[in-house]
Amino acid sequence: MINPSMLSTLGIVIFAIVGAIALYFFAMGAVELFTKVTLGQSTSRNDQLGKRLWGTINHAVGQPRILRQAEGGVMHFLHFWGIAIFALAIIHLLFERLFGAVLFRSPVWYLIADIAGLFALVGILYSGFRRYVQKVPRLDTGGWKEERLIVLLISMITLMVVFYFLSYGYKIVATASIPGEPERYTLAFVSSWVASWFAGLDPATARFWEFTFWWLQMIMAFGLLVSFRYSPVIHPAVAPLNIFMRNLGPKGANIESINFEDEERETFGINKIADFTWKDLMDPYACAECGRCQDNCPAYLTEKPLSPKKILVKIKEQIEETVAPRVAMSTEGGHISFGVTKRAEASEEGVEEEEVKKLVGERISTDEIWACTTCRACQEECPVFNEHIVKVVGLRRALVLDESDFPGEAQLAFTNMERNSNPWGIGWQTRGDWAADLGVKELSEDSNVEYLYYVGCAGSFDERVKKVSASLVKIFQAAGISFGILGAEEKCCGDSARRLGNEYLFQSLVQENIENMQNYKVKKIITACPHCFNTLKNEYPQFGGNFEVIHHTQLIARLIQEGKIKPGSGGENLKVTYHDSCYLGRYNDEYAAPRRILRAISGLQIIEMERNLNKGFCCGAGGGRMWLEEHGKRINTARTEQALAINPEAIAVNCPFCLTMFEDGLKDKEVSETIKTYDVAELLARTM
Amino acid sequence: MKIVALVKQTFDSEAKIALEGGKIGRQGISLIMNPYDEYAVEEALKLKEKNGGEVTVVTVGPDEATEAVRQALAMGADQGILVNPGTEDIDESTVATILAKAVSSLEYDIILGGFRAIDDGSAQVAGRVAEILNLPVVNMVTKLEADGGKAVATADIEGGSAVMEVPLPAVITAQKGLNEPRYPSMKGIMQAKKKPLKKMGLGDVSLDASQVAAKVKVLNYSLPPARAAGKVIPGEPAEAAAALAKALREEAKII
Repeated sequence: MINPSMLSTLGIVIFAIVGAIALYFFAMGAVELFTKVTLGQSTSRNDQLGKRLWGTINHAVGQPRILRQAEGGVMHFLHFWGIAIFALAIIHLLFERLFGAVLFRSPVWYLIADIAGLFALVGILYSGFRRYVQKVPRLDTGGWKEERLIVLLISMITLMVVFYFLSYGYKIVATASIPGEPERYTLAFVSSWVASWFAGLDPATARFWEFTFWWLQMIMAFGLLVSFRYSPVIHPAVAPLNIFMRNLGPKGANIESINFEDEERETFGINKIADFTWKDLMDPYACAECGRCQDNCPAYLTEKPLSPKKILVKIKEQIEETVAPRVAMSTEGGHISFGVTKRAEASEEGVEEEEVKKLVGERISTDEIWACTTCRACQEECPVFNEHIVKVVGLRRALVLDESDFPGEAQLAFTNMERNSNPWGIGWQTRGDWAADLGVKELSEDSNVEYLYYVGCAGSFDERVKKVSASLVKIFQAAGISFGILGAEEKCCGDSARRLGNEYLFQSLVQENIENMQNYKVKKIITACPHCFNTLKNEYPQFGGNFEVIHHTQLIARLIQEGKIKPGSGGENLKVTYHDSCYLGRYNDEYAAPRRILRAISGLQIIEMERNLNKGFCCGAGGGRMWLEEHGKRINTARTEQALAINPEAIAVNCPFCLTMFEDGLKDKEVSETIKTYDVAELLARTM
Repeated sequence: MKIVALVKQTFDSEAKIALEGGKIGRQGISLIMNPYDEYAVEEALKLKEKNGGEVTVVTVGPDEATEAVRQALAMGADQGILVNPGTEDIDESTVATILAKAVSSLEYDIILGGFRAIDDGSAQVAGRVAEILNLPVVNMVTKLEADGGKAVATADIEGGSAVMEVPLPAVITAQKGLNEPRYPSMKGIMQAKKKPLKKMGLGDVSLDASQVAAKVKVLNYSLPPARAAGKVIPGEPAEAAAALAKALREEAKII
C-alpha cells in the first residue's frame, strides 16, 4: 500500500523544482562567499588537523565561550541545538513524503523532534525578546537596514517551527485510525497537544491541512537556504569553519612579519580589502554581531569610537560594496559554467575600491584604528575565534608605512626609538646607569652568566620603574642567580613600534637585539616587562632569535617554591589587589605565578577585582597607546575606579606600563597618598 | 619650481658628548639631520607639492652625512648632493663657500635651510650662502608662501614677528614652528635607495683647499661643569626658609 503521507507525483515534481531553486541560490551564495573570501592574501591554516577538529567539536557542541554569558548562552544553546536536530526531523519527514519511508518509528524519536522544535522556538523567540524588548546594548546593529533581515529570519524560523507543529498536529488526527500510526506519536507531547485542538476532524480535511502546513513549513526552510546568500544567516555555516581555521600559533605571535627585502612590494599595510588575508575576510562572515567583544573592550567601554565588532562589520560592508561578486550560472555550448562578474575580477588587481569609500580613514576612521590597546579581551571572548587585533595592526601599518599619516606623539616615539633605542628618547649611552651602584655585571665585561636580565626601556629610564629594577636585582642576588645585563647595548624590544604599525622600525630593533644576544651566546632571558616578555618569547623566533624567556614573576615564584628565596616575615599588613596585565595574562596565560608570590608574602591579604584573570581590564597603555594622547574618559581612570571599588590598600602589578597608568589613575582620583602601586617584586623585596 | 634645501648632519641632541684628545669625540654618537634643516626640507616638499617642480638636497660633510641626505630623499626630495671637503678643519665660511659653489651649478627658484644647526649654533651658513650668491635672505621664518616670482615670509623678530616679501630667487631660513616634518613612508625609504645622490669632492665643484681654508680656528673645547645634585633643606617652614636664604646668599651667591 502506498503511504498516504507521500506526495502525489505532481507534488514531487513541484517539490523538486522549488527545492532545486532553493539549492541553486544556496550554492550561488556559497560560491560568492568563497569568491569574496579568497580575494584575500594566503595564510596557512591547515596544520594540526586533529587539534582543529577537536576544538571545533568542543566549541560547537559545548559552546563554552558562548555559555560564559548565561542569558545569551542559554538562548544560543537552545536554538542552536533546537534547529540542528529539528533540521533532522524535517529531513526525516521528507523521506516519508518523497519515498513513503518511515526511518524511525520509535516514539522516542518523535519526542526528541518535538523537544528540538520547542527549543528552537523558545530560543529564537528569546533572541527576538533580547533584541527588541530587553534591547541588550551589545546586540545593536545600528539601523533598520541591518535589522530587517534579522527580523525576517526570526519570523521565518518561528513560522517554520509553528507550521511543523501544526502539520504534525493534523497528521496525528489524519492518521489516528491507521493501525500502527498513533503508537509513533505517544511521546510527541507538543504535536499531540496541537492535535488535541483538531480532535474529531475528518481525516480527509485533516490531511489537507497537514499537507498545506507542511508545504508552508518547507517554503520557510527553503527560504532560509535562499537567505544564506543575502543575510547574516551565514553565521551558522561559517562559524564552525572559522573555529576550525582559528589561529593555533602562540597567542603572542599572531602578527605576521613583513619581508622588506621584497623589492617588488609597493604597499606594506592593509590599504584595501585584497590586502587582508582570506582568514581576515572570513572572520566578518562568521561573526554573529553578538557584541561580546565590545562589552569587554576597554576603548569601547570608555566611549572611544572603537568597537571590535564594528571593525568586522565595516570590513564586511567594504567587501560587500566593493567586491560583491554576483555569480551567475550560464550555459555555453551545453556546458554549465559559473561566471563571476567583472568587478570581482578587477578587484583581484586591486583597482576595485576607487568608487567607494577608502577602507582606511573613511570606512574605518583613523580614530578607531588608533584607539585599540591590543589587549586581546575581544579575542578572548569571541565565540567564533575572530582575530581583531591583527586587522587593527594591519590598518595601522597602512597609516604608518604607506600613508605616513599618524599622531605626532607616535612620530616622536618612533624617532626616539630610532635614535636612542627607547621611546622616551633619553640618550642611549645612559641605559645601564640605573645599575651603576648595584653590583650588576654587563655582558660586555663577563658574558659567562646563566641569564640575561633584559631590563627594558621603562626599567632603564623611568625613575619609578628603576626602583622595580633595583628590587629585582636585590631578589636575584639573594637567590644567587647568575645574571648580567646588556647595559647601553640593550635596545627597545620593539613591542610598541610593531603594534603602532611601524614594522620597519620594529625589525631593525629586533635585528640589533638578536645580534647582540647571539654575540654573547645568550640562552636564557629574564624580562621585567610583559611586553618585552611577549615580544622576545613569541615574536623574536620569527627573526631567528630563539631564547628561553621567562617573566620575572615566573622566575621568582619558582625560586620561592624551590626555597631559594625566603620572603621575610616583616611584611606589614596590607590589603592588595592584583591587576593582570594583558601581555602576561591573556597573551601568555600566566595568571598564577604573580598570585603565588603575593600569597607567599606574610601580611598580604589578596582581594580580586571583578574583572580579573582572562577578563582583566587593560590599563590603557598597550598597543603603543602608552605613547599616544588619550581623549575623553581615560582607560586607566576607569581601571583605577574598578580597583577602588573593592577598597584595596595597595595595587600590585607585573608591568611597568600598568604601574605608570595606575599611579596616574590614583593621582587623578586624588588617593595617591594613601593607596600605592607596586610591582609584585617590590612587595617581595621589601620583606627581604 | 626648482627648490634647493641645505642640510647638515649633526649629533643627536641626546648624545653624550665627550672630549677625546682635545676634540669632540664621535665614537658611538647617533647622527641625525639638523632639526632646523628638517623644517627646511619639509617646507621644500610642501612647496613642491603645491607648485610642482623638484627638490635638491645639498650637504657638506664627511661620507657618513649621506644618511642625512637619504633621509631627505626618503621624505620626498628628488636628488641629493654631498660635497666632502676632505678635511675636518672647516668653519662656516668653508661650508658656505662650498654650498654656494655647489648650488650655483643648479637651477633654483628658492633656497631653504635651517636658520641654525643644533651643534655649533652659529646661524651663519645660510646667510653666507645668500651673500655669496647675491640673493635676498629672510631669517627665522615660521610661515612661508612662495609662488611665481616672490615669497611672503613671516619671520621671528625680537618680541614679535615681521611679514616680509622678497623677490625670488631668495634664501629662506627655517625656525621651529614652520611645519611638522613628515616621517618617511616605506615607499619613500624604498625609493630613496634608487634616487640620484652625487658624492663629490672639492675638485668636482671647482674649488681647491686654499679657497675654502677655515678662517676661524678653534683653540680649545671644554665641557660644561657636571650638574650638582639637588639639595633638600629639612625642618619647619620658617627654619627651612631661613636656611634656604642663607644657602642662596653664601653658597650659591645669588642673593
